[in-house]
Amino acid sequence: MTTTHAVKLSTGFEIPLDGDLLAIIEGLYKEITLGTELNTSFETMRNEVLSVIDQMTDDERRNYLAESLFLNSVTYENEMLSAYVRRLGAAPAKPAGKVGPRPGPAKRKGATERSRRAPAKTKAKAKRRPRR
Amino acid sequence: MDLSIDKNGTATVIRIQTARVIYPLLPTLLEKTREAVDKGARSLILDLQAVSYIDSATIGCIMDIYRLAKDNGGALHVLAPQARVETMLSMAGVHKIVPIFQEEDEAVRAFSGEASN
Repeated sequence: MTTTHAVKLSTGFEIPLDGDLLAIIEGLYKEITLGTELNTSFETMRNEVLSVIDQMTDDERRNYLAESLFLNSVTYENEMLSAYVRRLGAAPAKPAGKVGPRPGPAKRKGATERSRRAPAKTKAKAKRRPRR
Repeated sequence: MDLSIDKNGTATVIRIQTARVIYPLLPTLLEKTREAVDKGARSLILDLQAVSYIDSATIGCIMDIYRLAKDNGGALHVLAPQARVETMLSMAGVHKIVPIFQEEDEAVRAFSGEASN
């Protein structure tokens, strides 16, 4: 991505559009969620997200949508694979010196339930080799 | 992509020295890793110490390397990701599948406690 212009949140905070999806997520969290001391509603956040999208060019929208969908696809695959491994009772050993895993969005209750409901699909996915 | 491949005991350490790892650089990473596996490397460590940003494709590539190692009876460990990179890995659930270590010696030692396939 070559475009480097920035989008501005309603708080005035600017986020450069250099392709870093996490920067937008962090910006929204710090400025909107924490900025309102967690009193934000889903509508506030939705409007903020739409405002960010409206400030993007078509190319930027395309790039960020691809980045977002790809990230969600990998997250979903990993969640399914992780559920499959758990079911086999062979979860990877906890490494000794590891900094504790940070619970991420993939730990949502819904994702786990979805994984439980689709064992056959999970198995098929886990067996798919190699992935390109 | 600027990377080097070293040995540490029985482990093969792939050290990425590029700060911003994004899609166009990934074929090189995968190709070099595949070459190492073809030459017999099984215990792979991906050193991300110098990396400050990865995109979603890089996460996909790390999972490809994980599968490549597994398919050949090996394993993959990720070493010393910076905070934002670790956040990306956690968001995508990579940490549930690929162990992450802060110290290289621990990453090497942990292979001995893992099943080989």
